[in-house]
Amino acid sequence: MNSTFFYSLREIRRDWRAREIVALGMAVAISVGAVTAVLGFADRVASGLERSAGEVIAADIKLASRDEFPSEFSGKALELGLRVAHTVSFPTVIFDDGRTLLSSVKGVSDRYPLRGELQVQTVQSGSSVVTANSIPARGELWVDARVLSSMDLTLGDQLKLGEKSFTLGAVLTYEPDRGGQFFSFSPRLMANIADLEETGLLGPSSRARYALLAAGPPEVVEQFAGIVDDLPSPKYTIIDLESAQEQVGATVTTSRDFIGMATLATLLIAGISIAVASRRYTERRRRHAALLRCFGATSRDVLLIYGQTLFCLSLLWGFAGMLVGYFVQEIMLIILSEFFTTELGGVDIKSGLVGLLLGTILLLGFSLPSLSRLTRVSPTEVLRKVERARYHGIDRVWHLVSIIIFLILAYTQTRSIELVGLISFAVVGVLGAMMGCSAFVLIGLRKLSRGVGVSWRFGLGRLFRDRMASTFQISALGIGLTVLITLSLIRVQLFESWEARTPDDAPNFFFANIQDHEKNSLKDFFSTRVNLTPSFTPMATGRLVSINGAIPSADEYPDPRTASRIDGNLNFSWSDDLPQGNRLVDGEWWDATTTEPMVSLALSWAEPLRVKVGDRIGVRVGTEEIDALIVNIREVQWEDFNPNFFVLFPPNVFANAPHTFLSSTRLEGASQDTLVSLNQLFPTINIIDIGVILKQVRRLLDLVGLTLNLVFGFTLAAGSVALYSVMQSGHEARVRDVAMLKVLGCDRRRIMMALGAEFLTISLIAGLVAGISASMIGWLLAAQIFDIPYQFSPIVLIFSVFLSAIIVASLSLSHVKHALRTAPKFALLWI
Amino acid sequence: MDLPSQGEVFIGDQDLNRLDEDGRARLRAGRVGFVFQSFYLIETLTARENVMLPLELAGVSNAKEVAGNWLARVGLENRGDHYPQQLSGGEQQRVALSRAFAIEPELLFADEPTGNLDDESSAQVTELLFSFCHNRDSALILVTHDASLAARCARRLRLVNGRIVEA
Repeated sequence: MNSTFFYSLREIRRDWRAREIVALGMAVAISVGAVTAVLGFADRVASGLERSAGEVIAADIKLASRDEFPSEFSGKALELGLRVAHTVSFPTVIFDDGRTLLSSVKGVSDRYPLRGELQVQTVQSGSSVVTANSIPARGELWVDARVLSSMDLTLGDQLKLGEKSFTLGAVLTYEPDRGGQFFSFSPRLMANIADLEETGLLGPSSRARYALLAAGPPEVVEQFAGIVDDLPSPKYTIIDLESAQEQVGATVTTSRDFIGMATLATLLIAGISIAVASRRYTERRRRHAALLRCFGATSRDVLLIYGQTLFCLSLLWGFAGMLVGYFVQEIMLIILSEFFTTELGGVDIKSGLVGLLLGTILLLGFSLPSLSRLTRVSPTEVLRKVERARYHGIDRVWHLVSIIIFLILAYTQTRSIELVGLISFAVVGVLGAMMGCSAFVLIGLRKLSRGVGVSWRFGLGRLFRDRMASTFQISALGIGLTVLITLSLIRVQLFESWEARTPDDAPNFFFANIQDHEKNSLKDFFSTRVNLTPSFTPMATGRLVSINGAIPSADEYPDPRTASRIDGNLNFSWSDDLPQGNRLVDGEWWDATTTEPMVSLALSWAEPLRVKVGDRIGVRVGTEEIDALIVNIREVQWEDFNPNFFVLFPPNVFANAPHTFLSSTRLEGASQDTLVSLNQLFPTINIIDIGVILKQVRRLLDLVGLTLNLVFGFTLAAGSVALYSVMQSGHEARVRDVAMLKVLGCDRRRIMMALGAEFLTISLIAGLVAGISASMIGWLLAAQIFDIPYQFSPIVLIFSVFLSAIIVASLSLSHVKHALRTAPKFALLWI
Repeated sequence: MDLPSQGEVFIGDQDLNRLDEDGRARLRAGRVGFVFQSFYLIETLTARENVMLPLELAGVSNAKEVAGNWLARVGLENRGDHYPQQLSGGEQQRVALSRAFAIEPELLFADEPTGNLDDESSAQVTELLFSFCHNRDSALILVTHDASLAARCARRLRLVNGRIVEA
């Protein structure tokens, strides 16, 4: 082993308590801790969000069929270690005391739901909603509140279902997979699956839908999905997490982008923190390095000694940071546990190791520029101290290495070149702007400060003297602030946008299967009963039969959701105009009178099928087949809950295809009671309760909001450490100068003014430039990544300067106190 | 700069034990000057600004002009806008002397004032130090290992094993 390594170990043993090494170690530990906590936490929360999305199907995978599943299916799942539950649901009309109500009966087996939970109101709980610990007992029915109001029933009453009498045991207020079943519109009656045979309602014409639910580790679920392909009938549809809900999918994707951005910010701030701390470390090692050079050490020896020292330190402190990271992860999850109804992933050693690895890479990468300067120390420095090393061209190369390392780490965290590119562009722009602006302001201040008093001149003098160091400090503070303010701005904008996309007056009921001849009478019904005028969207069902003339095969698409589009039915519509909430991303909208076979596709449908404008798709409806040219691609805003279709044709293309109509409306409170009459008058119209889905989406948004607040809070803490390192870097010179001021007769008030002048200038410049930069980045991110509106606001600038002043004041407090406490006699002790 | 662990220290009629840190600072501001072995100029201020500092703290209105005069008297009239790092050791000590002299102190402390200087600079600084104190009738308390420098002082005390003895 190289002798430099032993020297490095001695260096650590001798100096491990030295202030600058502790500062560097803390920077590494907190960086590793922050990265470990944020990464691990983000992974676990992301998996939690996916599971929450999974609540929409109450499982990780759901097999749905018209026929009962043979026992081989559940046998296979159980064999693999998955948890399994069965459900069966069917519509039926219930009768009681002359009243009738079309309702949806659902029988559930033990363990249901596998994801999410059932929430009920019971006689005991009164109006409070409680989580059900089991499924309905034998002979018991849990029902929607609407059943009680429509049928004038109360809990404890008896209700006959087919041939069996049940006791109404609870009001069912939340059922996780309710929203996922777009066609379970009628009020729910939930019973133990074992009771339903006795009702006699599960005959061949019962229109029952059977479902097999399974949940477990993702890889096992995937394995199960592969195995069931080989099992004999029945014909079933696989519904997995991804295909559960387009809306939930959109939410998960956006929140992942956001968590990725927060991780990126943490990495960036950690890098700055390390760069600052290592700069101070190497500045204080210059004389030491000069001595080593005098004794014959080569540049390589010097690099090895200090590089190895930093490496060993990063491992030691990084390990401590890793433990802190895990601890913080657990604290976050304890806080979150009451909000998550599903369990999150367990503690994973991976996040700690990744954190340690990232911390070490960050440390070495971001200290390279400082270390490179140390290798150029001249032996003559033992004779004459050089306060600051001169900047060489080669330093640029080392800075470039740091930047490349940052970009690689950033990519590993976000997996999005676009996001990394945008953030990196922002960082370079902000750094340039920060350095330029602060240098400009400092030069201006210098001219203005000629006539100012001793305190201001002293305070500003510290900033003027080493402009490079000053602009670096201001820029480091400014970048930290920029990231923090950008995150808070974007967070607010994102939520505002989400809320705008799910407006308060979003429809909460869908009406499907409306026949052409029913449209007018339905219109009359709504206008007389609830004073609403519904609009109707046509819907036809066909099959995708060709892509660019070739017959598509589901095997070509590994994604099961895409494959199901090849094998399954294709619902489509037609429209004169681009529907509300849709945006063209490619191509042109058509002339409504055209009879040419052309089609418009949703981006999220076209992309996985690998088709674009200019390609053709063939669609068959009955015996009619049309080979249509794709003329445009749309981005669909699913969150507004208006009827939307992946595939749209011009009105005249499929005019003769058999079709029904969809409608949607918002019905509040008592208006919902009209649904009973509607169901009696239009028994074939399917009523779909979107309110339940909205409730679920809002619940998810709350969850996401809480998650982001926590992740953002951790990033803020990491930023504070970076800023503290920046201030710490100039602290010794500050204390020495303050002691000297005291020797010369300066009182406490003037010293405070002098220190105040320095910190006020830093916070003002950094706050202003950060506010401007954050507004610009916020606008870019909003427009390019999140596709949400953004408005510039002067409050951002005020907030930025205020935040900057608060952060600088709180971080400098201990420095100011220490400097003020330093006795003048210490001026004699420095060399 | 420090308080005695026991006993009393007076400057004129002022008992230092009875003053807090700010009180002692105000006392130093007008009446006491310091010259150090390692100069201790404030790195972030120019030579002129360093000399102006005690003048401004003492409330002198034309501090810039006075500082310029003192720099001229130590032969540094052209070096006023230079920072300490741009000056040689001898020049830095002459700036430090100007800073100490500028307030025309009653009492001047010099801690090894020539300890870091070559012979020529050392002779220059010694001459300036003694001539200033002589002309202004200031008391000079000088700590040194240099016997020839000590020989120029009116009273000499030696510190031997922690005890003060007459030389």
